[in-house]
Amino acid sequence: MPTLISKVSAFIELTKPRQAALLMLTMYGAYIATGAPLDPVMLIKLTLGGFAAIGGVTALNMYFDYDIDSMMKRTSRRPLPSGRLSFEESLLGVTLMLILAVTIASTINEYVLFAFLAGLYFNIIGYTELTKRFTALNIVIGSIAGSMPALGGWAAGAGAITLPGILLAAVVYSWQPLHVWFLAYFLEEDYRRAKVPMAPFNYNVRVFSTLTLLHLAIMASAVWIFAYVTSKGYIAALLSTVFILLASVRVAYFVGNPSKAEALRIFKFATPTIAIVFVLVPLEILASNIAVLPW
Amino acid sequence: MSCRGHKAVACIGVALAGLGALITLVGHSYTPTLLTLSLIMLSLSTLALLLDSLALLVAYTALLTLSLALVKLLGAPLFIVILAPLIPIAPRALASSRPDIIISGLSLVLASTLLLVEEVLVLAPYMILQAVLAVIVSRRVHSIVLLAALAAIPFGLIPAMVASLLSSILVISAGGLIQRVGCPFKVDSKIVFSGSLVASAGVVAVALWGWSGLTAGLWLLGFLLVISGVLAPMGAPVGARLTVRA
Repeated sequence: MPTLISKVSAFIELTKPRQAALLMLTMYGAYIATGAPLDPVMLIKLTLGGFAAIGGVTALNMYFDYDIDSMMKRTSRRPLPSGRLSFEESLLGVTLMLILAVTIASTINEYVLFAFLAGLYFNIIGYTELTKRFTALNIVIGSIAGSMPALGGWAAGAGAITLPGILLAAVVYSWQPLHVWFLAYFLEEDYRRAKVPMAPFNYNVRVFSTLTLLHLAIMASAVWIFAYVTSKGYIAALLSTVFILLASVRVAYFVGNPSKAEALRIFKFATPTIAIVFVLVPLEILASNIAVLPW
Repeated sequence: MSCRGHKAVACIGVALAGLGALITLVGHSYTPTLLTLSLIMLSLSTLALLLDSLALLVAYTALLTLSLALVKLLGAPLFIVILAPLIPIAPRALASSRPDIIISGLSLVLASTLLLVEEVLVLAPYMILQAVLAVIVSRRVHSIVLLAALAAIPFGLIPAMVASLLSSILVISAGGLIQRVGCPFKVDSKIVFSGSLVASAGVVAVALWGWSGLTAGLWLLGFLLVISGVLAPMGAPVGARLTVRA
């Protein structure tokens, strides 16, 4: 008989903790990048609220995608398709998490609340319901949702949604095709079985690789404009440009030599490409804050 | 399948776009107002979707606007606003025995009651306009709304940008999708119920603690859940889904 612990554990799995951790990294990074003080209460709010928001929306997405997950080998052992969690149980958890997210976000400020609700809107309605099953460019909409944690983190620190925050969100947005499309290429049979259209196999290699390169160019531009506007983050801009260039070279090589192994290598290279921005920018700002302290 | 009811959902985008622009223009750009009015539009669209009748939506909005005008201009009793929207919905809901319609209708009534605390009269003509737009929603109409959003930019860039973005995505995706593949949605009654419950919790919260970002956020969360429940993907055979009539 399933215990409460096993149910809670299955629900936590439904929130995709690893993906949530990466998105929360962008949220923390954007928050620290504002130069706001590292107030422990705010950090606790961001942690709880951020996880509730990202995890709750992800779990709701899995609720709707139950049928797709059942058909794909990679996802068939997830809590809903495997029966470890019922629909009612998952929906109860989702609702509680989303309420928690609203409650915490509203104690920070209305812009954080807005970022959360916009993330919910774009992920569930814009992506899962209106585009995921119908267009190979679904991720172009889905990526907007993925950029909301960064926008929320910035709004929490700056007290408003301003240009640098939008630029950091644009960094996350433009990074996602690199992450998603090459994984999809690697898992092509799974996606075909579930009849989910994806650019890597709905278009030819040249087209989707060009689209990826375009996104990478936007990402590099956003990082540099951020550095220019804030006069901070130049080291991060420089290093991330190196990573973006390396990723671009890999993608260009892939066009001439497409293979699943190469697609997997590019997918694995995607995470450090974004992590470098959201780790180095805050570090640079923290270091500059320490440098101006009286001692 | 025409999927007429679901097309109403595309109106949410139009409503949000015009709403953001208008509120910015009239200088009511504080969040609770924005969220409250957004949710009214969401609830109207949801109701139209559930009732599967855009004509009824127009009648509904006109009735609501008239009631609000009566209260504001002539000092009519408040209960007119509370009861009036029940008139068209009650027979339909009772005849079809659909609790989701009743819940949605009641939510709308409560939302309209709450709206009385805001400067709503200035927005009444706008609500009529939105109802008309809802009936003839198209890219042409959508472009007009986008122009309104652009006009609002000098008064506040972010609301105008966000509103136009939301509108673009929802209207174009929903409209194009329905045109291309027919009606690919179902209603997930569990999510609709869950959303209604959250929205109701928002009402209780307003009664207890007054109007704030939290209560507005709960309202909007509830209605976003309702909307997501009525747009559940057809391919996902979850729980007690109802097929929406075309």
